[in-house]
Formats: sequence, C-alpha cells, structure tokens
Amino acid sequence: MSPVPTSPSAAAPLRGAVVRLDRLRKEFGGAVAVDDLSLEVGSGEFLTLLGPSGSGKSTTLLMIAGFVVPTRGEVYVGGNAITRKPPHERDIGIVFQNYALFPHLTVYDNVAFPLRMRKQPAARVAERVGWALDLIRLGGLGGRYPHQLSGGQQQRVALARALVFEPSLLLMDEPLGALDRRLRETMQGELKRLQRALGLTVICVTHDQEEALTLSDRIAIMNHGRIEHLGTPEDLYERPQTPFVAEFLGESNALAAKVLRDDGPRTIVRTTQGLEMSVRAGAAKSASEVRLAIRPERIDFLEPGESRDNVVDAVIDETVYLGDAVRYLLRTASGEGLTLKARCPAGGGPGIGDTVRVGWAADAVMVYANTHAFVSSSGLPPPAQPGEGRGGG
Amino acid sequence: MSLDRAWDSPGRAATLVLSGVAALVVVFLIVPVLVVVPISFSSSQYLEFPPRGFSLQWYERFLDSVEWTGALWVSVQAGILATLLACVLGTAAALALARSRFPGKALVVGFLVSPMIVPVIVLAIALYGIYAKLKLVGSLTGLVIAHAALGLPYVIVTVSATLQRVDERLEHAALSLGATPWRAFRHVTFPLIRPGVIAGALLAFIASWDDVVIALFISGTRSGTLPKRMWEGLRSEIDPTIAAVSTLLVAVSLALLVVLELLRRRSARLTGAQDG
Amino acid sequence: MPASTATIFLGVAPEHRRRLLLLLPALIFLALAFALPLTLIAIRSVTDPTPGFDHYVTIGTASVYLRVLASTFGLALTVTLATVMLGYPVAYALARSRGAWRSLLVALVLLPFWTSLLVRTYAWMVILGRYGIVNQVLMALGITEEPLKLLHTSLATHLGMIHILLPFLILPVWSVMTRLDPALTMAARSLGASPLRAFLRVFVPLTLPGVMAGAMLVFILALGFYVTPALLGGPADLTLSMLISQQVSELLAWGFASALAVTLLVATLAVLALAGRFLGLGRIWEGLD
Repeated sequence: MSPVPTSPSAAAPLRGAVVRLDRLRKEFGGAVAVDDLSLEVGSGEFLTLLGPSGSGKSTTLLMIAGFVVPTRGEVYVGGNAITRKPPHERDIGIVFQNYALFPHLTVYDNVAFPLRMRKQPAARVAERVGWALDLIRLGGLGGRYPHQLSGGQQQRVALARALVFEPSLLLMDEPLGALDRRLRETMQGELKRLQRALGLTVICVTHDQEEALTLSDRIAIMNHGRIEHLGTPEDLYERPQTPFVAEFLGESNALAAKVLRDDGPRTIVRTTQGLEMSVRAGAAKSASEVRLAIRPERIDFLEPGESRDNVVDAVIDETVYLGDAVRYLLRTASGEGLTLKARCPAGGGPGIGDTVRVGWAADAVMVYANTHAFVSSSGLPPPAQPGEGRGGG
Repeated sequence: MSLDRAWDSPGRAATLVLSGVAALVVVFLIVPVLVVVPISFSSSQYLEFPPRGFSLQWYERFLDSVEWTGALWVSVQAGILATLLACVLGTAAALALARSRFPGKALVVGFLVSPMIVPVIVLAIALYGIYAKLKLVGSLTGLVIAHAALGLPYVIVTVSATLQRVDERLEHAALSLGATPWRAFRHVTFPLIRPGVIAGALLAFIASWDDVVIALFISGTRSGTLPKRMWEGLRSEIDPTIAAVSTLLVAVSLALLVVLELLRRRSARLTGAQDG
Repeated sequence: MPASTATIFLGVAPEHRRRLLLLLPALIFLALAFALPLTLIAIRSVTDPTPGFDHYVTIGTASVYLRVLASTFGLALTVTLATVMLGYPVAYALARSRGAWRSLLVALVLLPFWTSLLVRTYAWMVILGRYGIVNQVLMALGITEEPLKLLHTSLATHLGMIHILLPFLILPVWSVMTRLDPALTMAARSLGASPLRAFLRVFVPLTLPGVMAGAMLVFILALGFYVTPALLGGPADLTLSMLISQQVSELLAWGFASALAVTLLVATLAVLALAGRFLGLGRIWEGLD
C-alpha cells in the first residue's frame, strides 16, 4: 500500500467532525419515515446505517445532507445546528448511489467543481484537484469523461470530488452497490485506508450487510424509522438485541417457544412444534412466550458419543452447496425445521434422507421476549420502547 | 436500441400487404411536399405542371416585393420573440413540475398544455375580441404574446421529458458540492437539458411560424405574417410566387428537422453516457 | 428511494415549495393571454347582444347549424378512421426498419409533419386544380376530355386533412410499437401461435393504446380545422371553424360566433375527457405524467 498523500493545505490529516442527530423525525403525509432518531457519531468514526428498503436510512441521510427537511429534530455537525441550512452551505461531502458524476464534464472538471463553486483561484484549484486525483490514483485520467471510465474508476472520482473541498463529514449512499464482487472487495479496502488516513467522519447507508460489516466501526440497524440496535459489527452479530437484528444480519433459525421451568444454570423451553431445549438461565420469565434464534453455524453434526446441551435426531431434507460451506435443511422428529451450516466435510458429508444427530450449546440460543404473549401471560405492559434492550442471548 | 423486432412479423403474405400499403402511404405523404419545388423554378407565367423551362423569376419577384419581404420580416421577428418568451416561461415551469407532487398537479399540467388542444379558431377570435379593446390588433406585441401562448406547451412537454431522463442526484451532487441553486442549474442541469430546450424552442418557433388563423385575425393588413400573406395570395389569384415561398419554407423545415435529429443524437449520447 | 417516497405523498414537501414558484410566470402568462380571452368569449356568448342563452338554443335547434355540427364531426371521424387505416402500416414499417432504411422512412414521415400546413394545402391545390397534375395526367391518358372538378370538393378537403394529420397518428403508434417487449410475440410463437396469429392476437392488441391516443389527437385536431377546409372545400363543406370565422369577420355577429366557439371548445374538451377516461392523459402528453 502506498502512503496516502497528505493534504497540501495542512500537514496533519483532516479531522472529521462529531455529528449528532437529536430526535430527528420525518413524516411524509401521515406516514412516519424516520421516528425520533437520535444518534452520535464520533470524530473519525465510520458509521453505517443498515436496514431493509423503507427503513428510513436513506431519508436520514438526505436530512443530514439537507435535501429533505425534517418534520422536527436537529442535526448538529461539529457542534453547530445545521438543520435550517440549505444543502450548498453545509460543506458535507457526498458519494451518491451511482456516483452522480456530471456526464458533461471531464474528470478534472468534476473534481474541480466544488472548488470553483467556492470561487477558489485557479492555481489553488489545480493544486487541490491534483492532490485529490493522486489520492485515488487516477492522476492521468483528468481529461476523460465519466462514461469513458470503468465502474471502479467512477467510484474513485466520486470519492475524490466529495473529498477535494475538505468536508468535515462524508456521506455515502450505497457506495459500492454498483460494483461487481471482486472490485467491491478492493474498494472496501481502499475506502477504509483513506478514511483512517484522513481521519474522516463517515456516515454510510447500505442494505448490503457484508459491506457494512467490513467497513464500519459501528453499525446502526434500522427498521420502521427507528434504530433497532447500534453497536460494533461483532456486537451486532454475536449479541443481536432483537429478533429482527438476529434475522437481518446473517442467517438464523427463528423459533417460537414457551418457557417451561428453570433447571439450575439452564432454563428449559419448548417450541410450538414440541421440541424441548435448554437455554441460558435468566433469559426469560417462567411460563412466558419467547422467540428463539440460533445461528446455523452454531449447530453441529455430532460424532457417536459426542454431546451438547441440546441434542436431537433429524433427517436431512435438502442440501445447498455454498462453496466454502454446505447448508443442510433438517427436520427433527417433532417436525421442527432447522438449518445447519457446516464446513464441507472432506469425505463428502451426509446426504439427503440420511438421519443424523445434531446438537448445540445452550449459549448458542438467543432468547427474546415475545411482546404480545408478554402482555397476555404476565399482565405487564409491553416495554415503552420496543427495540431497545429486550432479551439478549 | 437493439431490440429484435423480427419476431413481430405477421408472416410473409401479411408483411407484403403491410409493406405495400406503407410504401403507398409514404409516397402519398411526401409527393405533395415536393410538388411545389419544380413549379417554383418555372419560367412560364402561369401555374402549370410539368413546369416549362427554368428560371428564378418567382424568387426574384418574392425578394423584390415589399409586401412579401415585409411579411417575412414580421414572421421572423414574431417567431424569435415568441420562442424566447415561451422558452423562458416553459423551462421554468418544467423545472417546477419535474419531480414534484402537489395536490391538483394534473390540473395545472392540463392547463399549461391546453393551448395545444384548444381549437385555434376559438383562441383567434377570443384574442381578437380582447385585442380590439386593448388596441393590440396589428401590433407585434400582440402577435408575440399570442404565439408564445401557442408555443409554451411544446417547451414544457419537451423540457419535462428531458428532465425526467436527468438523474435528480446530479442536482443534489452539485448542491452538496457547494453550488447555489442557480449555479447548480447554470452549470449542471441546464447543460444536460439543453438539447430538450432547443428542441422545444424549435417546436415553439414552428408553432409561431406556421400559424395562419391567429395571424389572420390579429395581425393588421400591413403588419401581416408570411402565412397571412400566402393565405391572401391563395384566396385571390394563385400566383407562382407562392410556390417560391413554399419551397423556401420546405427548405427551412428540412433544416430544422436536421438540427433536431442532430440534437436527438447528442442527447442520446449524453444519457447513454450517464448509465454507461 | 425516499427521495421518490417524498414525491409520492400528497402535500408539498418543504424542499419543493420554493421550486414551485417557478410555475408562477407561466401560469400568470397563460391566465392573461389564454384563459382570460376564452372566459370573455364565454361571457360574450350569453350577453351579446342581449343576456340569455338564445344563441345556444339557435345552435341546438336550427337545422342549418345542426347540419354544420354533424358534418364537422362526420369529417373528423372519417379523417380519423382513414389515418388509422393508412397510418398503422407505416408505423409498423418504421418499427421494423433498420439503419439507412429507417432514417429514410423517418425523414419521409417527418418532413411533411414539419412543413407548413399552408404549404401542404397549397400543394393539394396545385395537384387537384382545374389544370392541376391529376387532371393533366387524366387528360393526357385520354381518360377524360374535360378537366374534372376535384378542387373545392369534399374529396379535396378529406385528402388534404388526411395528409396533414397522418403523422399525428403514425408517431405515437410507432413509439408504442418500439417500446413493446419483443419477447411477448416470441412467447406467443413459442406457445404455438402462427406468425399471423401472434401478430393479430398479441402485437396488435398491445399497440392499441398508442392507436387510441393517436386517433383521439387526430380527431380533436380535425374538429378545429380551418385553413384546409376553407381552401380546398366547396361551398357546401362548411365546418364549425369556418362558420365561426364567417360570423365574426363577415357578419360581425360576435355573440353568436362566441356561442359557436364555446360549442366547439366544449365538444373538444368532451372528446378529450373521454380520451382521458380511457387512456389517461399521460398517453397523449408523453413525458408529462
């Protein structure tokens, strides 16, 4: 990796601003797109808003950028409220989905655009554009038009254009969505390198979980205009706070169950299909309805004599070859469908129709209170803030 | 476009019938347009076909006649001024309409394009009535206003169609990079919709240039447009000077057509470049 | 996504409010230069020379005016049907053509479209006149001794109007044809339809919306035609437009002319409303939804 050229205007790298969203809300007609969202992004942090389409992540980004006016709430960048500022006075760099490079301008003119809008002298423009093009290693391509570039090159130009005026905040909307897999991986590395070296604060929106997991310092999973879970990638994957997060990020077996009894360090639950299993104690109130989530890779085939907290016999219904792993769809004697993911066995694993013994640890089961059943079984009102700190695996 | 339409063929016999009809219709369409050309070069004193001899006498007569050149000048002035007015108003309106939704938008759009469908004779007598009171009959101002109203829908429709093909994110990008709304329009949006604006301008110009009916009522006898002068010529004696004028008009149409086609190609290249 | 969500909902988003001000100049201009004169005409039709609906009663009862109304609609209908029959094959040829052939065909359709209506009407006077091209040919061939009366007939009006209005049908139909997914007829063929059946049962029905849009446009334009019938038609072929013009410029009967104008306008809007009902106006004004 070549060193990142430092900004000619400052010996030290740029310092990204702290961003704070304070109870940001957006309604379209009567529909709530973003629901009282609060969030703080640290200086130099890479934060991703991840969620399905319609979860409010892009609206949030557009409100930070100034293209959508919030119904209420404030946006602070570097401590200043910018909520009422028009977009062109915000000094926020944006890498748009599909890049939004101006098709009638050359690469050079695209990158020079923000400097010219700020009426910088020609010499300064040339110097800054040179710096930005070196930054993305496209120094020789200033005279080309966007349509003469490959997708990856267009991506880099969009990045250079968004950085050349030294914004204190960089927004990215599905930045790598249009690239093929190979290129995406290269660009991910490049992006991370630049962000670290320049100390940029980045807020990124994507629906691609792999992109979110590899790039982000923290991820906010959004659903229905709210943040379901905000945390580090590892946090989100290993300890998802809600069943939605467990199912959205990675794969999981989702099961509905009822708590039977406490049994020492374990709690015993029974699924609606009648499969009994032990989970970590204290995960749920006795007799309550719960939802369970188990990652497929946490379920193992057992050798004869091997044991786990939970062991069950099952028949293989279907196998799906994934390259580095195989996904098995299993059916237990009680009729429960389970997905298991395992490394490809060297000598060819079990096949369709085989009966196998599988098992998993009590700790592998994530347990979530079921809101509706919660009310009926205990008489307690549901938590005031659904999506915050329920259950936990 | 590389869609293969070969599978739409209705079979050999039916294709033959369709092509035959199409060929005849195309001949029917083009022959009357070309027929005036040879007559305009006739050396005879009368309108006859096939024309005898070759001369430019009818063109000379056209250029020597103050009546004809005066009418040409009125048409050119009215056409250019009306086009400018229609372009400014129409482009602004199209920018407002693009990508915005508001209650009653369909009604507003319907109103803005309605000069295209209101029978021109109705508009002509309506304008005549009001112009008579305002003493605008026979004035260039009156003609320009009326013709701008005729051309406005063409500009709105063409520019709106072009705007739909311009990614909204390009404007957002310009704003995020520090361009004021005006500079974003000036440096990004306008260059991208320019082919559409020019196409709309050509259509608006043609709407003015071709208008007979409104000019008949609201332009005075001495300040008549070229079509009005032609109409008067056709009503009284069929003078071959009209053939010369017609040939010139066909040439103008052909030139505009070529310009439009070049614009279409350029615009296709630009939009093609956008997703390329 | 949310950018478009923002535009789906009713109510003007705050970020669009300022932009809408750009509509004002065009709206004000059209209100003064277009809507106001038309409103004054409507008022005049019930006030000049005396207040009341006398003019409309006359139009609705006097057989001479009813005949004009009927012949105007009849003319528009015949012309529309003819343009559909003649225009569809041309649109199809355009859709199927490639390369240089297509450029040639497009030019041959567009050049007449762009040529002044008056020039084209004049051309028909040259062709159909007493010593016009048709009569010269007929006499040269000995088919007739005396020149036939072709100009100033209903036939001449029809020919001229069909010629002028054909491109208005061809262009929208062509546009619909090129946007039709070729996979549809391929699917029909793979499902066992003969070429002719695939064409008649799949291709033609799917292009009908374009045909309807084009036909409505032609019909509306034909209703208001003035120049061509006035120059090519005979004394018997009076259209509503010609009647209006006559009332104003020859008889100075402003009130009655205004009532006739309102009648023509209402008829046009009624046809358009009908078209909008079945097609959606967007089909006619492509690009403005």
